[in-house]
Amino acid sequence: MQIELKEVNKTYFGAQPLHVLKGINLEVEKGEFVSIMGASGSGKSTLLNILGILDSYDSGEYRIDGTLIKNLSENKAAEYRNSLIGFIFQSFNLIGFKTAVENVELPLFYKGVGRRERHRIAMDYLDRMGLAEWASHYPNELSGGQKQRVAICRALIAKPKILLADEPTGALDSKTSLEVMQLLGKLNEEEGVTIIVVTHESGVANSTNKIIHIKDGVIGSIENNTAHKLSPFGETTIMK
Amino acid sequence: MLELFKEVWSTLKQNKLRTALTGFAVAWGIFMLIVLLGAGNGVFHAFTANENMLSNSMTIYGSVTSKPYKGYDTGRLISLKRSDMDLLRSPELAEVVDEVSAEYEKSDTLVFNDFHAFVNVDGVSPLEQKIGSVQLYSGRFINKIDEEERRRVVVIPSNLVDQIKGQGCDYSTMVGEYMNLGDLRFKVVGVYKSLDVENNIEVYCPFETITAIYKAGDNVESIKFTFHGLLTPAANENFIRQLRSIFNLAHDADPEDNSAIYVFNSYTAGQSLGKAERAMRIALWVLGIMTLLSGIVGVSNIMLITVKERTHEFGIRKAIGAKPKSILSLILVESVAITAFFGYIGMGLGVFATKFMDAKFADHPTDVGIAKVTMFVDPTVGMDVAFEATLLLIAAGTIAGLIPAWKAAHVKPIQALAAK
Repeated sequence: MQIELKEVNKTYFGAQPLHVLKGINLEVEKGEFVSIMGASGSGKSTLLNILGILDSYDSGEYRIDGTLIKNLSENKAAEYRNSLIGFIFQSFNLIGFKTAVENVELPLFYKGVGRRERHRIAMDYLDRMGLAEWASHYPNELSGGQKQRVAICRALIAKPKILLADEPTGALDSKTSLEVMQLLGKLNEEEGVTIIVVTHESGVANSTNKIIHIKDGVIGSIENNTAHKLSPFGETTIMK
Repeated sequence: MLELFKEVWSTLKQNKLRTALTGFAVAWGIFMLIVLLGAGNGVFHAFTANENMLSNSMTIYGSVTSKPYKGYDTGRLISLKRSDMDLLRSPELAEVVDEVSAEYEKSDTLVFNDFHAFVNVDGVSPLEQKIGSVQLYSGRFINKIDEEERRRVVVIPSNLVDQIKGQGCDYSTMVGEYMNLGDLRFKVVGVYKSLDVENNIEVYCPFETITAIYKAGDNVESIKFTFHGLLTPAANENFIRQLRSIFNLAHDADPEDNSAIYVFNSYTAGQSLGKAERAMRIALWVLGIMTLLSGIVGVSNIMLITVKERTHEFGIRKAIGAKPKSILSLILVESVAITAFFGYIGMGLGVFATKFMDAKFADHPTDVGIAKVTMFVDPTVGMDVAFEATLLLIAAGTIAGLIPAWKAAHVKPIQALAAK
């Protein structure tokens, strides 16, 4: 079992304490392509932040490959994020004053890989995404789809155990959205990358092989979607 | 490290104007510091250049009593005698006193061809060259044989030669010439570097010659001696007290009378000058650092804004594995880079300004009424100051960046990612 959550609870203590995750139990096998679906406020983003070691949780257990991820120091958390997790964000989160290839190199910089080696690997990934020509372009010179592919390169370059995508198509048109999801599917199929996508779009969820529904901080149903019969992009959804 | 600088450079390029404006404050601060220290050096170099006493000598002059003693009333004039020199050999003083000489001074007319001047004639011993730090341009100083044979020789100052032959003449041409002092012919044996007191001409002749010519008898103007071993102010005071009592008693004055003789101690005078110099130097550093401080606050301010603006970016960096330390050093290096870069510009300009002061104002005598005195000599700073200023800049940059860097390094990744 690659990812294991047991009775994970999370409360935000503000003026009004907010119990966001109410005992999440979840297991994801290595090489799975999973989506977590839920409406806004369902706790899916909080869950993703915990999965991505960006946020802490109050009680329960979270393990990656058996390693307990709990009460980590900032350094340890940074190390785990660097080596275990690749992030894909809705708004791409590329650094604006760095070129595509420099953005892709960044995780390796924090891993301590030398400049030449880093550059070589980053170019290799960009080439595989068909972006070699755009390597020296800045993010604002790229289209949305290109930006997201650069972000995917960056997420993959440190060879993480899990790829976490937070609404990866949220800022893309439906055609590009489909392309990005197909790309993620291909990565999962051909290279066995474990991918967890958080979304509220059924079209996105439909591209994945398993759909985990989350509602009001608890896991609802888990659908097997290997047939991809839910609702394809742009048909029954109103979002696109 | 190179990687880090490239990172920092790429962000600095983003905000050229802002960086430049911040940098200006730092450059200005360090510029002021260098100029202040340079000017301070100029003043102190001028002090030491005008100061002509060897650091460990004392001069004793006769003065006026302030206490009645042995039936004498107050206000009696004490004049020193040749025999007073032997008092310095008394057991209480002999241990400290080295060489002793006496001086006799008279004013007279100097005539050279058509040139007339009213000059001070100093009858001195060869020791005066050492005590008065007389620097010879040409020829020699008064020697022992001059004294023994009462030769009529004279050592003249360079400003006299300047007046006779005009500025920039060859001083050596005067050596061997004859000139009249009063009614008698003297041979010029040397030319010394005159102090900046231009209106005053002081020529040196052998003590024995002058006392004989002017029929001084046993009288001397002053007694000078070199000494050693008085290392503390207390030791100096103690020695002078003993010296006073011995001299006073020899002249039938109250041994406790502090005004019967006047004692000038070049050693403690030099020490207090040194103290003043240190105090002024500290004051200048403080002033300079205060000026620099406004620059540092500026950098700190800008770094805070930068950190705020880049919070989202730091969130991204953290999400992909940046440790707090790497974010901390990113900000610190940026801060130090700004301070150091502009600091060096300021330092360069400051050094340039001191060189300019040196060329423009240094070594030019200023008329202070009674005399012309050089107020400014070599108003520049040395390598040591440049080095200290470098350390100061790095420290300043670190301090300026510390709080912003700390904030940036410890922001929570989700909060940072949520920031716009």
